[in-house]
Amino acid sequence: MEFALRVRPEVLGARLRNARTIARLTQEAAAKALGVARTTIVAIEAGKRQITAEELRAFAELYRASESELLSGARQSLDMDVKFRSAGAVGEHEVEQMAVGALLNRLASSTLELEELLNTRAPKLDFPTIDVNPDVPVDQQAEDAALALRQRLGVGLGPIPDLTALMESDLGIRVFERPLPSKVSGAVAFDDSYGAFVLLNSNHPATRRRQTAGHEICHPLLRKTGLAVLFEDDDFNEKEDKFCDAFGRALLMPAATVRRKVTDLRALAGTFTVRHVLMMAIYFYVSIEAMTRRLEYLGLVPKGQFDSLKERGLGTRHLEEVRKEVGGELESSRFTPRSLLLAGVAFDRELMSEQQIAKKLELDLVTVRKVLAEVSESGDAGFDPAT
Amino acid sequence: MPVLTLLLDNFPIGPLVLDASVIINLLGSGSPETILAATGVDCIVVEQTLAEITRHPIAGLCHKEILSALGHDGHIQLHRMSSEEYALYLSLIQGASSECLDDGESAAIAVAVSTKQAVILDDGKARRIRRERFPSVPVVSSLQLFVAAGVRSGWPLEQVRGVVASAITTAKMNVVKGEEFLLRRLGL
Repeated sequence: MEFALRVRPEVLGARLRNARTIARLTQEAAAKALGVARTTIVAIEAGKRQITAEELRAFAELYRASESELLSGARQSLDMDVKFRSAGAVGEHEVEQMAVGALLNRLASSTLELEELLNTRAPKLDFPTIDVNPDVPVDQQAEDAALALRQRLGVGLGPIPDLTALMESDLGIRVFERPLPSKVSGAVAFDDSYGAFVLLNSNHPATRRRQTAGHEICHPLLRKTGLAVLFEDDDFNEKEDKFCDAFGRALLMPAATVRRKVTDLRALAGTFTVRHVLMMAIYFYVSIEAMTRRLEYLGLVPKGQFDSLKERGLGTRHLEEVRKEVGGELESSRFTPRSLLLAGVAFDRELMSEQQIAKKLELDLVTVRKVLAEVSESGDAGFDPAT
Repeated sequence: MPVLTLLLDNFPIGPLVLDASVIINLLGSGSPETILAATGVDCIVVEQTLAEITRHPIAGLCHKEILSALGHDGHIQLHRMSSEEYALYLSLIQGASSECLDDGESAAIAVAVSTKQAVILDDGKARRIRRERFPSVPVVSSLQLFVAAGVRSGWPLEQVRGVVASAITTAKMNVVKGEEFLLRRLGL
């Protein structure tokens, strides 16, 4: 049987070059292993020489690459450029930034492919572009912008229990949660044509992921094109990053509500205690550190309070004790991230197999099955208005 | 198990080609060796299918060790595709997103077509493409495999129920549309 290549030679060549790089092989080493001249590898990677089926098999085996990925008819990876956040971090974090950036590009491409397959698009980002004024304090502008976004979204001034659902359904930002290196908090990508994509570190606690999400939401609102990776030790040298950091805090913990809660608790108990800080952290679905620093910033507790509490051994254990008493469990989202909802529809319509979904969304099959069981119609009786 | 016994009329007596999803279900059942031995047929796993399985961890299980033992004991036979099979495989993984398949399922179908053997597939899209493009290739499901193993070896109903329940719990096994009655017969 003849082998008919449906992907353009230059596209296949680029994918083979990428697979070779991932396999950490030079052209010389690959040529030697395959028993061909180095010039043959060069020509194939440049798309100047057709490849036979058996050559493809040899390449796939040598590079441990999947043939379906090499020959995929889907769009090329978006390849949004990674913008290094701070000069000091380039060398230190370059490898992680490139790996996380590549992952977010692949997930974005897969999501766009799913959207095309189902003939649907994410809601368009419907929020005026934020311009950071260099003459006005960044924190003040961030507070105003966060308040404006809350008003636009109609979420009032209370806590936002499901930030991911809000990002996906109301802001059109596609959100992914995947395990990332521990130092990486997340990443954001924005493109004028394709929209926004946010990747969060699923290894981080839920409260930390929310803080990262609060920060990353800001980038599309600034219409910052390209891809940026956020590290937990980022010191935000750039004005826009400082703005996003303040924006995230203000979005999750609106100043007016924080002040009112402190006033209420103080009035009720006659004092404002550490236990009240923990209760507020639970109320706003944030960490002890985020809550305490926000209280410090708003002048509601003395500066340095968090460091002092930390020295005294305050930690997650105490937070969980209070949580048991007052409730406020940070529930996993009832709104499955949009890409997985799309996958459920594609699966139900027999347009994508579970193995394809697992590969495209870079998840294991059992995880995909769990999600499909929740989101696909086959696992849900649904509501039929006619009955 | 009279109703379940009826299934045997349609269950192949010859070799079976296994898709990656099916092997994940077998691993999740906790008794892959017992099930494959009880079925009494040769089970073929294509190299590309095996490579897919190793990408998908199941909590608490070590794929490599289990699959290696299954191969060593002759319960599964690793198959390297011929050039003809490989060309057919490539035709299945290429094309429009809605009409192509992943490596594991494409490899299983290609070898089943070439060797005229039955293939075990659970996935709706994989079964659709098999039905549309290779209607003469017999297809069965993981659930049928589990039930056939029990019936052929005279297991009590509880034992069949146990392995199926374990595959559903551990590997989140999907039940093929139209086979829900089998689950009900098993009391699940």
